[in-house]
Amino acid sequence: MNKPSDKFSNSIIQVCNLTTGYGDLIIHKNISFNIEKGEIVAICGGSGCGKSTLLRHMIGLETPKSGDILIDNESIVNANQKEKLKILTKTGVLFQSGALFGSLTLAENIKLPIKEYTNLPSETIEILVQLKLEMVNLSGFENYLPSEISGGMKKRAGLARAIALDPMILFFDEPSAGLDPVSSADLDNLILQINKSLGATIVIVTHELASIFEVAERVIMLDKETKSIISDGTPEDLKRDKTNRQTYDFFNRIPSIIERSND
Amino acid sequence: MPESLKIAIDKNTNIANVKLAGRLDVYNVSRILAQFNAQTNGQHFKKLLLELSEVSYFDSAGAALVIEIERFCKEQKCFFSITGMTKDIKNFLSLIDINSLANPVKFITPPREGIIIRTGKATLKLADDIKNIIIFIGQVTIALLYAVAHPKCVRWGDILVIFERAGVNAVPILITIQFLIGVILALLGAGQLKQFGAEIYIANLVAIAMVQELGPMITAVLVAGRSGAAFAAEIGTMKVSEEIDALESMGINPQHFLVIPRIIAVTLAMPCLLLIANVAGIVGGIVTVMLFLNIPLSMYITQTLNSIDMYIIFQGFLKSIIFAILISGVGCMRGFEVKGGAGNVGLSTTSAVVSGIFLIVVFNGVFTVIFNS
Repeated sequence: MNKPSDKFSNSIIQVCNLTTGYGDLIIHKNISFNIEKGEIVAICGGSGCGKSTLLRHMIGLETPKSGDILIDNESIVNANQKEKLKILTKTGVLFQSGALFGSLTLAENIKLPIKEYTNLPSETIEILVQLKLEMVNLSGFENYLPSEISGGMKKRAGLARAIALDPMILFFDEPSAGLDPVSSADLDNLILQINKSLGATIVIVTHELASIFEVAERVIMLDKETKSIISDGTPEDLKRDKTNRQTYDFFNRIPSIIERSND
Repeated sequence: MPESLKIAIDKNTNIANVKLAGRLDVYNVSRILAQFNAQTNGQHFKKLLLELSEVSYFDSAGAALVIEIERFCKEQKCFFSITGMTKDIKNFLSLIDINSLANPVKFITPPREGIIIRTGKATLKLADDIKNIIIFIGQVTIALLYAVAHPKCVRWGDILVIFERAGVNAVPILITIQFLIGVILALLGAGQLKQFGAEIYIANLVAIAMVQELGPMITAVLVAGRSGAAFAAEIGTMKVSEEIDALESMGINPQHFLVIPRIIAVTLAMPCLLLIANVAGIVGGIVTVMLFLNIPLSMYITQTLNSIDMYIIFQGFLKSIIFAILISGVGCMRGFEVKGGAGNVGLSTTSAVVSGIFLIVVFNGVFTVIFNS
């Protein structure tokens, strides 16, 4: 097992020689990167390059074929159940659909992780719930069911649940998917605010260019063909870098099918 | 302009000038193509020039016609060129690479796997299914023991809601079914027992059948159809909408959170339902006897009470508790097995009911053998 070098010991996420896949299918081949505390990193790439799969490995939902992932210097890959729970309290995840529990109200959804991990009295939990909903501009919607609110509100409520325990790291899976430009921009603002106010490290899986340029300080670009990382840098640098054709095309929205002329 | 095809062949140079005109759409193209094939049959050209300047409408069907003509030329190794393309035709053809389409592609429908392969796959799937059931039983047992050791962690609020849905809401349909089964049993019994003047034994027939066999079985089948299916659909949908992933990412055990409340609620509801089912069936028998036979009510009730003892009642309730665990467990398991989209939720729901009923019948057989040996 590759241990991270001392140089990166301050990194909050360390991905070391990770190879992932299902059955005979390999999705990532030997990829390594580090994410520093407080960074906002976007993981992007074309459809099917394994962005969401990488995220699922980072939050311990899948086991890699080989390699390791360290969250705050603790391996989530080799952790036993108890250790994994400890690691998971440091992370929060906003899933693509919000993944709110349909039978619970927004307040109950947010209460769930707080109740699970703390012994706080119910009044304090209620204050916390109000506070979290206020942070995502959903005050007054405590008693709504997920089915009674819009897609953008569901994402914000999912975010409120993800930050319920003030995690050190927040993972976002396609936060802008299915949102109108205004809701999407609202969510981008929230991500920036949370990064600033909670000091949380933020990892966003996305291919939404507007969001990447708005929030991301660094972009890790994955490639489906080589199953590896093809670029790593600031979004502005990657947009300008003509030496890497794929990345350049991605950031400048250059179509791969060039218009044909039939003369 | 009416659609038409004109072919002028220069005999000296062996050059064919093919002129298409009018609307080239799905309604006309096959006729034009037939004309083209008839007129060019057996002929060999050096060059074929396709003239499209008088085409008034051109869509995919027109493009297909052009490609057919191009393929004809390719086969004959004759030179092919298009002239007089209007702006619309140029725009349309800019979407495709007409030269690459000149080579026919072989469309292959994947052959159906042979019976040996399918049997092998089905056997492996069955073995996998049995393995999953054993793993799931193990996980549920651990989760149930955890719940017994930590009753505070059990979501009692959820249990009440599920108890209401799986138990209380099933009462009207259960009473109706069991009452009618009681009526049917009594009528069937009356027809046979009357021949021997033993009508009073209808009471024994109805009571024992209800309490020992039909009560637990029909109640369990009903609960499998209502709640087993509901659990599979509910958990399956949660899986599709990433709610199970969300639970796991929060470090909450989905088994503790979703399965335990369901198993406890159904296990508590089932004996209550069985009691109601037994009473409804016996009342069905009483009503039939009152309406169609001349047996005094008090005599019938005394005979009923004499025919059943605590051992039979115990058998019924023990079965119902085991059935409850099986139905709710397999319902939840099928829900967790959902992968992909909504279609799989439907498959899992069906599978939950089928597996539930199958397990009920198998275990009922096992119990009958144990209790009667």
